[in-house]
Amino acid sequence: MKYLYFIFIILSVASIFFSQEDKHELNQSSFSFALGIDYEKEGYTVSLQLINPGEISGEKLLNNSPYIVYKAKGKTIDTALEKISMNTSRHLDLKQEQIIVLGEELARKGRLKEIVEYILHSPDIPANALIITTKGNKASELLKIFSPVEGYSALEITNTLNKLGRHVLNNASEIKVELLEDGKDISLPYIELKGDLQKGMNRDNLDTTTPAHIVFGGFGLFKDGTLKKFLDYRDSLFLQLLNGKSSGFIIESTCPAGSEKFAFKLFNGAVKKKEFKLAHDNYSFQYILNLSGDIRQYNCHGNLKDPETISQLETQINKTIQSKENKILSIAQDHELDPFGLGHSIKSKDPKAWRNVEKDWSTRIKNARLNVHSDITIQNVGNYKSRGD
Amino acid sequence: MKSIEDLSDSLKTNIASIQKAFHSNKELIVRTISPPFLEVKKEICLVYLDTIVDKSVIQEHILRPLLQMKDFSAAHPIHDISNTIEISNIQVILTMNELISHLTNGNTIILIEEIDQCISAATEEWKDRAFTFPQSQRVLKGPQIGFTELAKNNLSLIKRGLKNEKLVIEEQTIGAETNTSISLLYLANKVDHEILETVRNKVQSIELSSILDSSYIEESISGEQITSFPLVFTTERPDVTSGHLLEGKIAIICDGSPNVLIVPALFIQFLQSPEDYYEKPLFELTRLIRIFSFIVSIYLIPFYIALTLFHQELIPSELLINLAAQRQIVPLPVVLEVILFMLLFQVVLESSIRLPTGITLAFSIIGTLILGQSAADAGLVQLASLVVVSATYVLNFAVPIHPFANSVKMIRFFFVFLASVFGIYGIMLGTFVLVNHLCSLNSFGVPYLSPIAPLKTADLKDTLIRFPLKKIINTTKKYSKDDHIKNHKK
Repeated sequence: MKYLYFIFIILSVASIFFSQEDKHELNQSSFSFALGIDYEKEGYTVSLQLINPGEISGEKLLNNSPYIVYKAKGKTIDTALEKISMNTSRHLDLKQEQIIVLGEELARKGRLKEIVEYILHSPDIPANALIITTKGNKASELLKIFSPVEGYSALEITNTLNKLGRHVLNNASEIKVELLEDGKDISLPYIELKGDLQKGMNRDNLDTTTPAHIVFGGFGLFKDGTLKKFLDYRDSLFLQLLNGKSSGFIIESTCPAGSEKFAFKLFNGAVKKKEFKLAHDNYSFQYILNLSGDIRQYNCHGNLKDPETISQLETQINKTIQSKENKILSIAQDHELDPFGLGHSIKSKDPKAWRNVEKDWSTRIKNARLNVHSDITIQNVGNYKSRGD
Repeated sequence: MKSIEDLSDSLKTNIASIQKAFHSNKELIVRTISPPFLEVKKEICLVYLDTIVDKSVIQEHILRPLLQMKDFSAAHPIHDISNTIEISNIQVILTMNELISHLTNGNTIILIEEIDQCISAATEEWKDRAFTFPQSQRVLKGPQIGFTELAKNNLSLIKRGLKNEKLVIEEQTIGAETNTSISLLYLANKVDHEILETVRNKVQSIELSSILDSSYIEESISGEQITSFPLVFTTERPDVTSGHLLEGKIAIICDGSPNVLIVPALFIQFLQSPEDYYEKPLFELTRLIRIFSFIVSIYLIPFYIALTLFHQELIPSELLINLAAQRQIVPLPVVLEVILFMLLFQVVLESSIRLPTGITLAFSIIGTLILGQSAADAGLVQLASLVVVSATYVLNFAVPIHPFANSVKMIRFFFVFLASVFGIYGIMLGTFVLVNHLCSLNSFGVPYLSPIAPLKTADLKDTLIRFPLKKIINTTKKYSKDDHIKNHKK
């Protein structure tokens, strides 16, 4: 028994060598939930959104802003952060960072890789913070927007994105993995501002019914860590459908007869099978999807009681999906991108063939063809049984 | 002891020495009578201590028959007297020492002139309170009777529940000043004789001159192991005592105390309540809840401190904002705040036990509402700390045996200290020491953590969850004695 106490004493003594810098009372630290990084010719502009807990939780001391955005330039992110730290009275706590917003310019200049490396390297910033980019505005500007619903914009952005489903989003370690993988180009979600920037940066934004606010714009397509093209959010959903990361969304199709529309609410979408064929040096890819969902708004005339109508509807949905995916593919082909990971599926199935095509894959993809077939299960047709006019 | 000598055959000498032994106490009643014997003329003397004897018994069943007694032969005087008095339990006494002990136990001594022997008749009547429900171990379902201070009553309660000829009661008197009677109870066919021998030896070697409560014995027999955990089980309930006896344990009843001691005691038994056996099995998860709350009551405050001081990244963002907002306006560091409130809670608990019942209500209003709520409102403490500290004490109350709940009091402070210096590393360090300490303990040779460590799968049926009665009652539990510990102790 005595030796155990001996070990205890040794372990306690050993902990003297631990860093006591870790110990901070909650009122000695300033917490930040969002970090913005913008392009600067030499280095970065880092903007840090520090929250004011009293204001957010309603225990007001002073009538001050719920959060403060500090901005500093630096040749490295660390020097910029140090500058911010010098300007504040409290210890900066970055361990709660939930999102890291990269400015559009930074992404366009191909600096994603170094940011990802930095985040993975830094002991302060959690590697599971979401990485997103912006469209139209600088990251520092978007972080300054007063968010009308959640109280502070970091939480609002995170919650907006989390609605898409956690696996759609990417954090530093996932991006790192995708960067290392061949045959797939990264796509990251982007946010944009709806409304006037100046109005949004003013506290009055909280008092109006039509505030300027941040929205999820869609996915930005990257090539080797450089932002190439923004997809709008509807296209992005179809992109994620083929990547097997889709959560529910509405697929709008044309009726079997006539030009009226009907809506199919997708609940579950999964890729059942992924194949490729080589014909005349051109690759064609065959996807089989398993979809299930409900018929929602129904402006067509076919009787939903009739199985024939249902199968017609399924054909229509199939067609819509096929055309949407083709549209995304053609966008990607224009920019020599492969957001679906088509090359990756060749690599995993036929590594030898991949070695041959790897180098000129970005040109070869221009001739690739996509063939999507969906097995659709319609669970609920709604109260339209009598409709058959 | 001066009066070890035998009784003299002179009545006067005997009475003089008794009076001398009692320092001419007025309580000592000496009544000399001259019965109308036909053959001889002899004086008979009744000696008893007032207030602990039943006087009506003495009058009706000793005095009256003696005064009407006529046949008395000098050949067998003791026999004649014994046949005359109407008391069931009588004894012939030869020495002064025995005589005094019988007197102090409430017996009436009958001395006869010119005879160096006397008769002791059981006439004791001890003052006792009525049976009530057990104060410290109340249950909703099951027997509601509790032990009282009178050992005889307690024995009777146990015997009622355990009508078994194998129930052995070994009575002995210890404590030179108080002459307290101690009874060892066990079932001869179930008890482990090695453990019984150890207990017997330990009880006999108690060197206390006075024993006022069973806790004196508990402390004396617990041995040299330094621990805050109780190594002896105490109960106020006859049903619990019978249950333990049936498991092959030994009960120690101390006259004057409503708490019966049971050895050997295991860690897990302190978290079991008699109700476990009276409610439906398996689905009744109260025992698990009790164990859970006991563990959480140790760790809640240390984790709160470690998380808020060292590992803020582990707190969910929304909660962190709230905690940080509360922290902005309070003066004391979180550790001091928590320790102060822990001390305060201890004081509140301590004083609420002692206070007269009339004041308790007012006290609880002041203690809880004013101190707690207003301290937070006044910005002296963080509300979250208050919640954490009070939750700890509420969880602690779920432990059914009070001394056991108390035993973690100091351990909690130890953990708080470790957490505040080393964070979660400190908590792990403390756990390491605590678990090792518990593993090293043994109660009369039985490892404290058994049947979990060392693992006895057969006994696990009644450990965390109680299995149906037919699976656990008819199989005797085997208490593994740890040879390593025993050898180590030697």
